[in-house]
Amino acid sequence: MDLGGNCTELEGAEALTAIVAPDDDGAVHGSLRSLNLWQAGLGVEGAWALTYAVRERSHHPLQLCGALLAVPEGKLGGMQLKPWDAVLLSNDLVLAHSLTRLDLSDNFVGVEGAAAIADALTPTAHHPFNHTLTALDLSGNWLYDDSARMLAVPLTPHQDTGASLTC
Amino acid sequence: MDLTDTGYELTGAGAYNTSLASLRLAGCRLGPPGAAALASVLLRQRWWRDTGHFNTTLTALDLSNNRLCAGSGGVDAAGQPTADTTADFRGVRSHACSPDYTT
Repeated sequence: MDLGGNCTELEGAEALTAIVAPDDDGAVHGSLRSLNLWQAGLGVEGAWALTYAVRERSHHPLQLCGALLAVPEGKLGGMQLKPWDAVLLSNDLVLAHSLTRLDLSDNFVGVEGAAAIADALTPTAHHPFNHTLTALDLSGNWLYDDSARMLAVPLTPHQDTGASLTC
Repeated sequence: MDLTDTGYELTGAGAYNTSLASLRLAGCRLGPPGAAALASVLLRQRWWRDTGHFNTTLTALDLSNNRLCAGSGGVDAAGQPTADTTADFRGVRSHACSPDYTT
């Protein structure tokens, strides 16, 4: 399903959540495995709502940015990436088991987007994380100090790995 | 679920991301607090040597064109590692503090 380029915002995200999330009995509707919401304008709140819903169906992974991470060398620099796009991309990053490099330079990831990327890289007992990425480029995103602190978390050995960075 | 593909098996005391070797944050408007947070990841290699819990994966950290003041995060105004962090803060490049940084 390709909804890229639309402006669905939070109401749209809630409607999509109903499609991708399991029902009360734990059943997942349909066979959807790839949803393209790249630059769909979900907003940060909507993107997180959808990402959480998808995580609930961990036995049936669902891409939220289509085949975006299939680009050679993960080169996504200068693509007008917004914070909500980065949140969705963090979901796909966990599923990208062969991705070793990701270039998100010169976008508009913001603090929220950086937090999502950091979360996808953080070992935790609560949800899967990416453990194949060897190089990450977030240059030119104006991330400020809070983002640096968040990005230090997955790189720092922790006694308690249950912490989550999600906003 | 195939735990090999999820990374779940890597969680536990002292766990951290053991794949990321290069992190570029050039031109991200980071100040001394952000640099210090990232520097601590590397500095713990020395401080925590006896605990067995330290990051041995990150080998390149690019903090160029940020707003780091002299001495922040283990680099001096010329962008060179300070004496006590030379061994740990490898791969770091930094420009001198720009005058507009305030906290």
